[in-house]
Amino acid sequence: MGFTARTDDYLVPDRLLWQTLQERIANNFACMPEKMASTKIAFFDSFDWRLYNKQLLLMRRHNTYELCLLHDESPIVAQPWPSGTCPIFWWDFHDTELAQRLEKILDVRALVLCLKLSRQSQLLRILNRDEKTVLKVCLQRNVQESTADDAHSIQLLKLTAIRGYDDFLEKFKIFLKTLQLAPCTKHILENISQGRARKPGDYSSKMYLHLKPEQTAKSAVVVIYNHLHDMMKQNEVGIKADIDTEFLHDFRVAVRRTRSALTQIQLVLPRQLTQEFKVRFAALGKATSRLRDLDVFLLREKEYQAILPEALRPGLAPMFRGLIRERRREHKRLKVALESPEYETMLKEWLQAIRTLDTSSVNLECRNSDEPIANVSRQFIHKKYKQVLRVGKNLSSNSPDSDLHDLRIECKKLRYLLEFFRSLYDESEMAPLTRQLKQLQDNLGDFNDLGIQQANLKQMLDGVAPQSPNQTICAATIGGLIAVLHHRQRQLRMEFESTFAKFADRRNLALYEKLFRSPLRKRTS
Amino acid sequence: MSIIALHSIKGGVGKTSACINLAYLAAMEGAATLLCDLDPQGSASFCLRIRPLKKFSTKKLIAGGSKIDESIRGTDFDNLDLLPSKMSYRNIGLILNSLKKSRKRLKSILGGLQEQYDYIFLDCPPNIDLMSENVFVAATHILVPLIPTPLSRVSFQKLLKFFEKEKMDQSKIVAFFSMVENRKSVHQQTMMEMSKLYPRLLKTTIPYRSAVEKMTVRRQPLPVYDSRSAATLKYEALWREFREIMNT
Repeated sequence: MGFTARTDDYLVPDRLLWQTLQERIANNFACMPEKMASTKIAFFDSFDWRLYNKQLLLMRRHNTYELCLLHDESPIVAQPWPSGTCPIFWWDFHDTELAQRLEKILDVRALVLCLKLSRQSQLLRILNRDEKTVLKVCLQRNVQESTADDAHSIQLLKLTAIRGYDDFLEKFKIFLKTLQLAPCTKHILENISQGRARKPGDYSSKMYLHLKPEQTAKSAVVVIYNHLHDMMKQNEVGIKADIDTEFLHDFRVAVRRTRSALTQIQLVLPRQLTQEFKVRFAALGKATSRLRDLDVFLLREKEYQAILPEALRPGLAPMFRGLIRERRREHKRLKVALESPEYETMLKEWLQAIRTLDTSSVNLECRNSDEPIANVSRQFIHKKYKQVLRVGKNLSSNSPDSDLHDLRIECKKLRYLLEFFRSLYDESEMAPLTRQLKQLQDNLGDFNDLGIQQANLKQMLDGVAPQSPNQTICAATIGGLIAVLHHRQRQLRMEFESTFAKFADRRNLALYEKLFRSPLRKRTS
Repeated sequence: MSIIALHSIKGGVGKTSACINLAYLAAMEGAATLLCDLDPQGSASFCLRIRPLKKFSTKKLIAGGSKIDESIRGTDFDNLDLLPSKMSYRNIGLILNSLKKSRKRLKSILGGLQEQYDYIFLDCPPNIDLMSENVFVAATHILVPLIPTPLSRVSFQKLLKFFEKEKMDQSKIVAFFSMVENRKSVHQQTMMEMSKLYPRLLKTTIPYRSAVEKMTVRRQPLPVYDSRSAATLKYEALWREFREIMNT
């Protein structure tokens, strides 16, 4: 609510001293300086910049967390918070408006510290003949808090217009031109990047690659593998420190994408190299599986509580206590694995192999290697989509669940190919294809997920020895959950046919044919 | 959005001072606040160092919409804006009289500002005319300052009778004692008698203090230049008490 005051920022070079600037302003305008204020500010976001991507900021100052707009730090919601405690997840803000807002954006991601700075600011009020404030000019010096000697600083001059006095703002801007100050449209978070390990927006779990249609398949796969390698490395720290569950999730996706690329983008890399790393990445993926399963289970605690009738809920607590213990052990085991020389060597050798390919001019004796990536990608996507269609069309209501699982795997492979090569095609045509495929994947994914949950619960049930009342309630709880999940899975099975029919819709298939059918096939058909 | 009119049939009762100070206190709590100076004398505008607008007129006020938006001025204080006064408001009754739905004009004009403000304070001229009727219809609350003297009591009774005659909602009216001098027995006597008669009288009273009078010299809300004075504390208490009534 209220009138949004217009603000303009200008960068003030370090050489222009505060005192000098203030004197120059005072020589040209009637002004009144206010007391200087100092404050320490910390900025937080999720590892994948969910707040920044929505043009938002979460900052802590004066023992208050403020969710603000990125461009001018104007608060949307503020929540006083005692010093000494550091909320990590949205639910740590308990029953507050801030928690509600963060939930929608952060989901299960943790807040991590992005930047700490100390800010000195002084307000100069520009006055008219009645000594009324007609423009607010704030001189602001932000110094990054860092252990490094080269801590970066930024001086800003912020103008806040007063409603109804735009003419003074314009006059002041003309004056600033004489000082040769450059307007600044970026927030400090984006400006102070010197000496910082991370920059806003430097990580996303989505693949945004920029491939050119004419580049060779060899150089294109180097871009893909490099990107996926970086993704694994970026997520390592978060997994080891156990910051949130999504580090492991993204790490696993990067491993799976790498394996998928190695299998599907054929005859581009030497066969021996492909085979070797397919095996090594499969082993790496397997090493992370149990921890992910446990994460997924633990994230479902609230959902399971909602499913069960009240009488069966007491059995959940001991069940989850056991899972938490197992997760602790499993995390420790994975941390050791990620710190092992074997893992280190494997990624080093992989990176070395990619780099050698990138610089190598030796003929790799691979048929597709020097072909333009546009042709090669089209061929692979077309092949995979045909395969999805074939598998899907052969499914009937009597088909075993394992056939649906096979289709899910094929869909995933098709999805990865579309993601790798997205930049080679028209975005407006790729978007509906991805959307349609995602709907099918969601159906298959949920179906599979419910199957895994039931299998896991069944395994737990087998371990229960109902000699005590506690164990009996546990068994009943698990039984209750299995029954509900089984019912849900059957419902999804019934929805499969209509979901697949939408994917195999005439228009969707025509688009696949238009985009990915090779010119050679066109001539022969 | 709450529309709070500071109104009194009698002049010189501390209406403008209360209007400025309460609007300022509301804004300091973070509420987007607009003060409309409807008094042709323009005392509120003067106290906030804002001159009457050259291009504004009564007709533009009545037209509402963008004409009002363009005329609103930011004050020196965050969240507090002002619609400055205009001498031509002295003719507002005549212009309103010539229009259809003449009693509801102000309500529809202010309704257009609903998106922008949490509170609108109206500083009204001392009168009962067609403009006052517009204020009574538009306001969600009518805050009446009373100097505790028999004359004030008479004018307050006139206001209540007017509401009764015009079948307007009397529950909007909330009064408080202003410019109170405890050493005067007339003040004490009147306050005691009126408290028994009128249940919607606020408990907080505003004392007579020279610090309040200085608002026209300092041209600032009282809490800005004298944050610890007894009068400031009383205005703060008055705002808290009144806000409580608005929320119930």
